[in-house]
Amino acid sequence: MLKILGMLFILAGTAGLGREYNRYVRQNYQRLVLWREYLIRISSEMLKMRRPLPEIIAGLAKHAKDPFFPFFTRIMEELQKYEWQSMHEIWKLSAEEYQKELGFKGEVMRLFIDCGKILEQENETILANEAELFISQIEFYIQKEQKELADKLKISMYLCTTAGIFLVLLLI
Amino acid sequence: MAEQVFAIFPKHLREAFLQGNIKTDELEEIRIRIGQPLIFRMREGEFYFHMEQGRLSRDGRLSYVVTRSDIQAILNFLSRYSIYAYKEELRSGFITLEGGHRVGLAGQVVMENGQVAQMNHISFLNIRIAHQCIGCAKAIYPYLLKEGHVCNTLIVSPVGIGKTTCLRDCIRLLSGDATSRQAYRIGVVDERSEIAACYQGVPQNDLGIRTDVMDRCDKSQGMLMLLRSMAPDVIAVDELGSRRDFEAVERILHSGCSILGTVHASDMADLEQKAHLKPWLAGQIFDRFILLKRNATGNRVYEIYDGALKRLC
Repeated sequence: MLKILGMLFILAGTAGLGREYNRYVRQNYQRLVLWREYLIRISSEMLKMRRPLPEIIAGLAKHAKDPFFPFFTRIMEELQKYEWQSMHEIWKLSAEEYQKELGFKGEVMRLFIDCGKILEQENETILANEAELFISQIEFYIQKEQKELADKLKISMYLCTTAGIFLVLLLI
Repeated sequence: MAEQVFAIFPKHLREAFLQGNIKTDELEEIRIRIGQPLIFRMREGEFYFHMEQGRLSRDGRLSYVVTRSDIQAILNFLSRYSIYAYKEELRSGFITLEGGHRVGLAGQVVMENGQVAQMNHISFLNIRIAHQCIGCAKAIYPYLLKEGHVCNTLIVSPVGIGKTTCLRDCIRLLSGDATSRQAYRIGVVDERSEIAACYQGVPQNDLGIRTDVMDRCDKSQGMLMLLRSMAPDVIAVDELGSRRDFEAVERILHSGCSILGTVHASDMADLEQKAHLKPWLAGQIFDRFILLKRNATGNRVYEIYDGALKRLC
């Protein structure tokens, strides 16, 4: 009886681990998609509607989903202080403060920080080109993540199940 | 008022100004030039800002010298970090701040097809502090009306005497407030944002409660747009000068709407020499001419003439 219970626990535990890893992989992908969406929104409102940045950021801070909500709210707070001389500095500060929540790592994080530079661009042609460049770079990471997503999910499920069965066999 | 203007300066200057007890009522201009002393133009003349002493002084030797990063910060703050949204303003060479204060800009201009395409490396700023002169047209006001109608009126003066200030107060008086028994719907075409000084579409100067403003719009087009859309009793415009302006005015006059405008001229004889005005003067289309000038003691005085250029007062 104890062995059966132990087996069940082990199988449930390893399945849970697999599920958690799957969630993490999906979240990563969704974060990239959201980032692309917000960047498109920011650049379109800057270029087409010529809305001032505080208004654009306030709109995002109101409707953005986690983990971007606290990030944009922080930028909004700093914008209202009129202390920072550069918009990119505010973006960088906020990105570094919410790095853990944003969940971007390595080169993706560097790209995320760098994309704040478009907010300082005065020339609209350069702004449009830079925004396009950043969006295409995010697209690249999204496609990469998309390709790996299915494989990662499968591998994690197989690994967890195999590990579970292996532990069960050890228990027997 | 001071807060609105000082708010666009970098933090270290903003704090120094607020602690420096600057008499903002007497402040007329702040001149900012890269690598040059920061100059405050007050009623009594020019003053320099001493950062260490935190006060204004006539002695320029210890004056604060403006840096490129100061100008960049000012541009960021006055545009609310959105200089891209002020392309038109940069092309016209000024930005209006909250409170109606104007920041004139100069730098490297990029020309395309003979037109100003954009301005780069902005290195010179001139902040002009808005001072409304409420009530300055009170004595003129009775002459603007005839049998309950607003007379077609031209305010005439040389540069710098106060045509726009007088026009603004005439608009305010005609438009009235909630207690006015006799008031008129006024449409203002404010091509250079000098009359209403709109900030984000809201007039920063008092123009009365029945005034609609077409801001930064070409005068001739704006007059016709207002006529079609807002049904004004009076259309007010500053600096009538081009042939197109006069053509638009003619169409307005034929529609039954009155015109309140200003024209550059040193005196009535100079006015009579203006080619576009000659047919109007001959046809007595305008009922009133208000000539503003300075007297021997330097004070502003006015003379009022009727359509036949007969002096009324």
